[in-house]
This record gives sequence, C-alpha cells and structure tokens, in this order.
Amino acid sequence: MRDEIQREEMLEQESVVERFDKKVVDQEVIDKVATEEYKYGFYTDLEEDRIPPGLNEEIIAIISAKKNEPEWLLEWRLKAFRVWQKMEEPTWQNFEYGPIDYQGITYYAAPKSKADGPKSLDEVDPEILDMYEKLGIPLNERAALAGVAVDAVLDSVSVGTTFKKTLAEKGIIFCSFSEAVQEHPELVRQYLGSVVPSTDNYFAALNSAVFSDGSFCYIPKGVRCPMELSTYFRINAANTGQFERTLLIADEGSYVSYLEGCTAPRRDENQLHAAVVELIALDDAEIKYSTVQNWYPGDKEGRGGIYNFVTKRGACRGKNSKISWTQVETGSRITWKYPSCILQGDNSIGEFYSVAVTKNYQEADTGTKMIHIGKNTRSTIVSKGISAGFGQNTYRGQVKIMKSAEGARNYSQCDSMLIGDKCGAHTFPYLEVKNSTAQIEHEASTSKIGEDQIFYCRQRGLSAEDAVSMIVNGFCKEVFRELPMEFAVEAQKLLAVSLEDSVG
Amino acid sequence: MEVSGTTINFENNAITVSKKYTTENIQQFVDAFNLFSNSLNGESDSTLGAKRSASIEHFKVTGFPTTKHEEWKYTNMLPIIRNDFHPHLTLDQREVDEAFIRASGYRGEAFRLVFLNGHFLPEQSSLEGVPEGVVVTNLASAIREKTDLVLEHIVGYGDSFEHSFATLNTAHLRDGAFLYIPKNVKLQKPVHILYLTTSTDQPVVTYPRTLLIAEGGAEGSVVEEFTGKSGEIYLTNAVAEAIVGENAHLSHIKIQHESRDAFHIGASHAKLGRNANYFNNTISFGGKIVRNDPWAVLEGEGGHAAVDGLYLVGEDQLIDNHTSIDHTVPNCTSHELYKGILRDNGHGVFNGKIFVQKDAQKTDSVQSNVNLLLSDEAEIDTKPQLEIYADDVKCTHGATIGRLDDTSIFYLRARGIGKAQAEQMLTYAFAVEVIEHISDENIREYAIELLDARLDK
Repeated sequence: MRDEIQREEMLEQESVVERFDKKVVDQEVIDKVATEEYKYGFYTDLEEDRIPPGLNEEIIAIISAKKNEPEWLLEWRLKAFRVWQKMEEPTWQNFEYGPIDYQGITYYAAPKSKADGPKSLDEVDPEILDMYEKLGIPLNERAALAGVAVDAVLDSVSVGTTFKKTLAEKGIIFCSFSEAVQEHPELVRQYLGSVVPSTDNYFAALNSAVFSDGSFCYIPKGVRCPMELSTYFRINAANTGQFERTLLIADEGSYVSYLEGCTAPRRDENQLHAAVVELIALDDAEIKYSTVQNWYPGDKEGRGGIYNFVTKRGACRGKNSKISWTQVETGSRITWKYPSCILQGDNSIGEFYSVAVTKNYQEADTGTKMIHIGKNTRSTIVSKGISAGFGQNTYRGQVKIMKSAEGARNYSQCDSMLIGDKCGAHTFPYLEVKNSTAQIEHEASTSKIGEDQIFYCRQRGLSAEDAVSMIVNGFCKEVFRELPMEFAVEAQKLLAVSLEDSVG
Repeated sequence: MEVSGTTINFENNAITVSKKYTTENIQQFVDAFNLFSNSLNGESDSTLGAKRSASIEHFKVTGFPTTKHEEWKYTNMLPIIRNDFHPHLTLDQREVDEAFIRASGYRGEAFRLVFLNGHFLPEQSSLEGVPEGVVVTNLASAIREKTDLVLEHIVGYGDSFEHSFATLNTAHLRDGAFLYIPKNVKLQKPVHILYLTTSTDQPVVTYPRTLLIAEGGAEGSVVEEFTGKSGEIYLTNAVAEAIVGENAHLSHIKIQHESRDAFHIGASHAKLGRNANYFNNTISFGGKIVRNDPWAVLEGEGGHAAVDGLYLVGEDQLIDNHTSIDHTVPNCTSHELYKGILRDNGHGVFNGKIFVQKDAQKTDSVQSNVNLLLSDEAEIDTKPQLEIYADDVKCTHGATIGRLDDTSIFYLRARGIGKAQAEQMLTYAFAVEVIEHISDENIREYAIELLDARLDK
C-alpha cells in the first residue's frame, strides 16, 4: 500500500519535473507557434460586382470603362499590358511558388453598391462597415479618437474615406485613386508611373495593366499633414487578385505620415496581391510610410495564403527631402518586395526599417534599394528577420552609389533571429560603389534566440511565452520606435500574436 | 541545379538559356578541344576520358555565362572569349627561356614544380629531398603512376558543371601539379607551383590543374603562383582541388601576378575532413580580367576553414572574387577576410557566400570584406551573403567601403611626411594585414615585396 502511494507520488513528481523541463516547454511552444491560428480569416458575404476571370485587352477595357477613365489612361494600361505579355516571370528570387494562372484570376471584383459608389460613410454598406469594425479599423467616428484618416480598399475598390473635410481645409487631397483620376487628372497624369514605370518589372507591368483602385494623396507646399493618413486593404472575394496603386506626392516643404494595413480571409488557394506604391518628395518634403502587413499567411501545412508581390519605390526628387519606409511583415504566404528610395536631390535621406516574421511555411524575400545620385545623400537600413517553424526569411538589399553622389553615406544592419531548427535566414546585400568619397558600412548577424536570456527571465518568474515576447520585442525595438505610436502598439501586439509564446 | 534545369528544356526554352549563357565563339573552344583530344593518342585513361567528354558535351550546350547570370553579374566574359586563343599542345624547347624563368616568381626555399605554357619543365623544377612517402610531381606522371589515388579524388566536387570555365578545364585535364602527403607526415618545406605563360606567335590558353591530398594528420603548405611575360595576351584557366583529411593541416596560397594584358580564371575546391584545418589565401595583383572562385566545404565535425584574400586593382583591371564556404556538419568554424584596394579606373567585385546547412548546428562563422577606394573612377561591387538553414549558429558578416582616413593622413603630414608617402604608408598598412596571415616567413616576405613594387608605381 505504501509502495503504491510512493509510486504515485513519484509519478506526480515526474510530471511536475517534466512540466518544468525547458525542453518540453520549448517544444510545446514551438508547436503552438506553428499552429497559431490566423485571427482575421473571416469572410463577409457581400453582393459582388465581378467580371469574368481572364486577362486580355477587352478585360482591361472593361475595367477602364467601369472606372469611367479618360482615353490616355486606357492607352497607358494597354501599353503596359502589351509589354507584360512579352516579359518573363522572374526566377531569381530565393523561394519557389506554384505557377500562377493569370487567366484564372478575376481582375475586378467590387462590392455592389449604388451606381456611382458611396458618397459618404452613411452610404457604405453596413456589412462592410461591420467587417472593418471586426478588423479594428476606425473607419467611422471612432476614427476621430484615433486621429487617423482612413481610405479603405475592399477587393478592388475603395469603400470610403474618412476625414475628407478636415484634410480639404488644408488643401490636402486624400481620396481613392479612381476619384483622383476624375477630379485631379492633371496631377495623376503628371506623376503616375514616374517612379515605377509601367514596364518596370513583371508584376508592376501587370498591375499597371489591370489596377483597379488604390489611394491618392497630395500634400501641398508647406503643409504639415495634421493627422496620420491610412489605407486599409482587404481581399474578400475568392479567386481574385488585388492590384491597387498608391500615389503619394509631398510638395515642397510638406510632411506626411502614411500607414497601410492589410488582411484577407482564409482560403485554400493562393491569392495574388501585386500592388504598386509610388512616393514623390519634392524639395524639403518628408514622407514617412509605414506598413503593417498581415495578409492571410496560409495554414500550418503551407496551404493557401497570399502571394504578396509588391513594388514600392520612393523618389527624393528635391533637395533635403526625406523618405522613410517602415514595415512590419507578419502575414502572407510569400512576401516579395523591396521598398526603395531614389535619392536624387542633394542632401536627401532615405530610410528603411523592417521587421519580417515568417513561421509555418511562410517565406519572405524582402529588403530595400537605396540609389544615391545626389550629393551628400544619406541612407540607413535596419532589417530584423525572425524565422520560426519552417519559415524562410531572406534579406536582399542594394546600396548603389553613383559617380555623382559625392559624400554619400550608408549604414546597413541586418539581424536575423532563428526560433526552431527547421527555419532559415539568408542575407544578400549588394553594395555597388562608384565614388571614393562614399562611406558604406554593412553589418549582419544571425543567431538563435538567446537561451541565457530566456533562462534569466524564467528564473525571475516570467513564463516562457512572456520571455520570448520580451526578447523579440527588444530585438525589434529599433524598428518599432520608427512607427507612429498607435501603430507601434498594434505591431507589437501583432508580433506577440504571431509568435505567441515562442521559445527556441 | 539551375544549369541542368535549363539544358533539359533547351529546345522549348531557348530564350532563357541564351540570356544566362551564350554560345558565342564556343566553336573555337570546341575545335581546340578536338585538337587536344586527338593529341592524347591513347594516353587517355578511360575514366578520365569519360570525364573529359562529359565536360565538353556539357560545355557545348551551355557555353559561357553572361552578365545575366547572377554569379557573373559584374564580370563580362565576352572580352575574354572573343580572343582567338590557341591551345599549346607541344612545347618547343626554343621557347624555354631559362633567364626569364629564373627571374619569375618566388625563389625561396621550396620543393618546386615549374610549368611553362601548361607543360611541365623537370629541369627547372627542384624536388631534391622530398621525404619518403610524399609525392610531389606533375599531374600527368601521377595519373600514370598513382592512377587509383588520382582517380579517387580528381573532379571530386559535387556540381562539377556549375562553373563553365572549370568544366572547360576538366575537359582539357592532362597536366598540372600533384601533391600527396601521407598520414601524419609533416612537410617542412613549402611546395611552390609556378605556372608561367609566354605567348609564342599566337595567344595561348592553358588549363593548369592542381591536385593536393593531405591524409589524416598530415601537414603541408602550398603556394600556387601564376605569372607570365608582361605585355602578352593569354588566358589561364586553372582549377585546383584540395583534400584535407582528418586532423590534417593544409595551407594553400595563391599568388597571381599575370601580365596586365592577360586573363585569369581560377577555381579552387577544398574538402575538409574531421578536425581538419584549411587555410586559403588568394592574392591578386595582375591580369586584365581576373576571376577567383575559392570554395571550401566542411564535411567533418570540428573543421576550420580560413579563406582570406587581397586584391589590388589598378588601371583597366577587373578582379572578381567569388568565395564560398559550405558548412555541412555541426561544430565547424570559418573565418574570412577579403581586402580590396581600388585605384585608377579599376573595378573590383567581391561575393562571399557562407552556407550553413540544416544539420550544421553550432557553426561559428565570421566574414568580412573591406574595400579602399582611392579613385573616383574606380568601382567596387560587393555582396557578402549568408544562407542559413540551422538555428543554433553564430554567423556575422560585414562589408565596408571607404577611402583613406583624413585624420590619419593629417597626423602623418603634421609630422613632416609628404601626402603621397602618407597615403602609401596607410595603403600598405591596410593591405599587409591579409599577407600577415601567411605563416611561412619567406613566402610572406615575397608577397610583401610584390605588394611594395605595385604600391610604388
């Protein structure tokens, strides 16, 4: 009898020991990371206006007609399409993806609404508003509290823009791309494709041919935009691609901070998101562009998820101008993008701050390009990659110093953290220098999440989850502090959700 | 593999192939191969014969890489292959200019193998006192006398077709240098391999091949030196293979000071066993277009690879270094330091790859590329690259590009040293760090001499 009790006690002790054995906890945590559910995977049943799938000149004409576009824009699209047909899909990237059936995609899907689209928030379908509510976007009055002006893009069209009036008083134009084409054609025509030419690359050409909507923003001379501007993208419909364009112009001496966020429902097939973002900063202007990307990443077996193939580029055209990219990439099955800066104006500054998280079978091939043309141009690159599960994370960046870029300066730092032994981290920096007065520094490191640090935290009573969250947040701090405050909080939460409780 | 993938689809995918590879002017190389092949006269061993024909068949399909090929992005091969190069099938004794040979290259104490236009010169070589069991000879004799040993190791690297020029070298495999150090033997003197080229009436292409085998616990030091008559146009397309056994220690130094009008393509491939130690140092001074591909693969636990290099690039020169260190097993370390000095309108390229494969836990790897730009006409393209598939590793890399430090120059000038001399002193100090890693004193001194002579200009 005594023996039995003893044995029971021993068993109990063993299980206690087991529970505190770090290795066991680690494994649980890693499993938990791998099975973490996507929280934005709901789908809203909306009446849709969609055109048949396929891609040809006729489809492009239909899209253009639906948008009531001027002749020159249709021509511009068709020119891009004709070049795209002759282009080959790139193969140099550090990941593989299944063939994309470009004829199977629906290039235009819009929530059905009144013929001319919503005129104010009241006219927007309450179901759409509900959905944005779920996403936590302050599209309605709550926006006032958050102080954010939002342009929300659902599938292919823009559903509503808040705070238009407040912005208009300052002369700021912030509207959907289609609206800008109708109301400010001269601005659109002047700047569209001036940073990312319609034939720049395979996906940019595709976007130029079929883009359906997006955001347009113009900040007039000397105006400091009083609030954060924001676009929220959501893919709702099945079998569609999302091809939006963002065009942002900061005129002399102006300042704007811009944020974009994105989500999509869970689906088993891969959906393509091929956007183009163009930024133009004139003399003394400053643009701060932040992205929190949380597209559906696919399930834990790597099925489904968004292909996020985006071309983002900013031109510092004027003297003393500045463009700063900050991105937090936690979603997408594959992320493939390089937000870049062309530093043309003398003394202009380019910055790139990035946190990219890949887990399950997610893959990211991301980084930046800094092209120094003007004198005394400066650029800073800080990239933090976190890989867990089977995730593969690649930093690929280019720093190019042209002969004219006297006194150019660049500093790059790329750190990778690995959580689990089946993931990968890769670094491909290209440094091309043609001026001897340039000063270029590149540093990169790759390491496992610190066991000592986790041990230290746990010793002081923190759970393994909290310890990892703390360490990862510390690892990414340099990037988070570049985000506008509200979004830094959001990004930190997102990261915590993404890597909940992870230990390596 | 990319190459075989494209060749399979060759017919339906001709455009893809032609972008990354060009078959321009390959007929000239194929014709030359046929001449070479006929000249073998049954000397050819059947196993080697098969390797040669497989290589030339592969070459016929792919041809040469273009700048569309990621690995050749900054180095255009067309100026090389458009030359009308001729293989040098037989050596005329009148070509052997003893005075020239004696004046070329390292003359310090060493076991010496001398080659002229790809042909072994026994009279010019010195092999007295080679310890028993050690084999230092030309590769052709080794193929005859140590057939099994050679065949076991030659063309031992995995993707032998990945590098078009290495493939072409294998097709022309006949002679070169051979070193074998048996178990636990420590070679006291270095082995000096001198590859000389002098064009005769037409530009020459040579295909030197070096095979180095250090068995378990062996120790040795090898210097491969490439040079030629100044002003002459020729192509050296070299391949070296090193097999470093368990606990063995091999130092493999390459000093290249070819004619400034010549072209040099050199690949080397080292395989490291358990606790092996391999040191590679590639010093490049000469050549018009130069490409070095030192690769090291760590195949046994506890191995250490050090891959260093120095490139001094002057007027109308392009020097391209593509290094690769592959960690395939746990608990290995590697260290890499490449330094470049770019002058006039020189163009330097550096691409250093470090792979850490899935199981290679506890890898510790450091890579650094430092460049000094001394002219506004010069260009440097550097790409330090990490590919890591294991989690418990420590890998860092860094790259910097800049000019000489103004405050250092000021410091020297304030002490009465002229500007030009101050710059030269600082440049020398910058470069000599790489040379100082060479353990053999005589060779180190020799490398410094060559550096000095070039900095004086």
